[in-house]
Amino acid sequence: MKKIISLIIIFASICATLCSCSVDKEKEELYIFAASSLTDCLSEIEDIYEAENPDIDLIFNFNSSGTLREQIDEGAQCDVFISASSTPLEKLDCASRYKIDLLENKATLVVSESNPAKIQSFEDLFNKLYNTEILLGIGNTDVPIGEYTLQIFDYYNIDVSKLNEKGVITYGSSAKEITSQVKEDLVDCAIIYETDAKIADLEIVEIADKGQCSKIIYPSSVLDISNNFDLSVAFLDFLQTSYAKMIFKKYGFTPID
Amino acid sequence: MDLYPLFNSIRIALISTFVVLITGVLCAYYISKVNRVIKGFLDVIFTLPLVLPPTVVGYLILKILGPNSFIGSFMNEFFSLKFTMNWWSAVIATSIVAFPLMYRTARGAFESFNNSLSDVALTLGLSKSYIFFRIRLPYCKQGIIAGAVLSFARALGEYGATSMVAGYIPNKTATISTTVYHLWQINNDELAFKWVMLNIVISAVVLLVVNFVEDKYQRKEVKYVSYS
Repeated sequence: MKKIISLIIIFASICATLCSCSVDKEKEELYIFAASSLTDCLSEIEDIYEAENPDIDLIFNFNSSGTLREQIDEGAQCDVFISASSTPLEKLDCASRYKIDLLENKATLVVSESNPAKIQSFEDLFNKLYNTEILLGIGNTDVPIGEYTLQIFDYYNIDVSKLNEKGVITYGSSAKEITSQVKEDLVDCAIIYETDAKIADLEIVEIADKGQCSKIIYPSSVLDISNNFDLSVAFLDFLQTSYAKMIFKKYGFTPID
Repeated sequence: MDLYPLFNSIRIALISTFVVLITGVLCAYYISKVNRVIKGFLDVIFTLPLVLPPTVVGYLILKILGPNSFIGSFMNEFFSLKFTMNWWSAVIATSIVAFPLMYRTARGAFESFNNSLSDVALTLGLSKSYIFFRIRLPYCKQGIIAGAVLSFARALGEYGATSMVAGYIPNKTATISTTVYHLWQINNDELAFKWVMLNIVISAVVLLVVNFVEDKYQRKEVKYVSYS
């Protein structure tokens, strides 16, 4: 019995030490929820911003904007939300007081490395989807890139349910997941962001910039539930400095003035 | 409600149960025959999928059998065969994830087998395969059935590795678990709820059947004892 009690005490004290380790009371924590397509450039900005403001700790949560919205709705702590489309932000209950359109991106059709199906353009893609055995990766309707993809389908008068019956479309749950699927050759082609295509070094076949889908704008906002409103505003302001814009441009985004 | 995911899930679960039933029992049987060092090493490998996160299993499958891997690109080039994004890709994933359950329970059953029974059979001149199929397997039947049922349940519920290897292609690779996740993502709660209920019913029925079979099996034994 003594042995068991001492074991429990040892275990509990280990747990307590581990818990206290992670709490850093010196720094102000800012929770930034951002679209998965921003993973690479915001990670670079994080290093710069934290070096300039040593008392601030940026904590990022990258996922599809739709999933992030659900997490916020279900009570996740979040100060700044940067979405890949205006829909998740509009659906959000804790409506924002401070909102800025930050960036612009483009939807592109990319192919896997060898491009065995020899896809040339969107029109060519849709002909081949109806006739041959190829697999297209797109985002589901809750992911902004999926939303834009459906607009492209509508533009070319494509009936998605017919393609679903043929089983030629696979649905990813974030822009990064679809990008990985093309990179791994799991799918023959995919509709993803231009920035993701460039970061992953994928071959772009066509850019949807002829009105096939609405402009892809990344709105950002400080949320009402934020504990650090002023610090959050300061961070958003930093994202609009020429220095931050330079980093965004490096990854292929178009900053909005 | 399109019932393809139900059909696909059950098909995948049944085939992978069959696969692990054979491989799991054989591995459990032969591992007792190798020397101690190899035994310890193999046992870790066979049990590893049980404790690994399914995403790790999915990642490894993609790296070993994926289109960019050595084996995957070779098979694709010469037989135009892709191991990923087919409904049977999910069988590979679920079989690996469910294998340790079958292997562990079968090994446990074999270890509790009284070896003097097979020694007696040997002195009576029976062949080794006869002893295995007619004495050892029937004696360990309950453990093996339990392992198979656990494997079936695990295969039916597998999500992580399946979604990485087979994706979510409606009418091709969609299973109940990936369908529920997809429906939850696109905020179709109504349909997601129906699938959740259906899944609960199937799993409950499977467990009920197991209890029923076990019950019947035990009663038969009692009857046998009372006659003797």
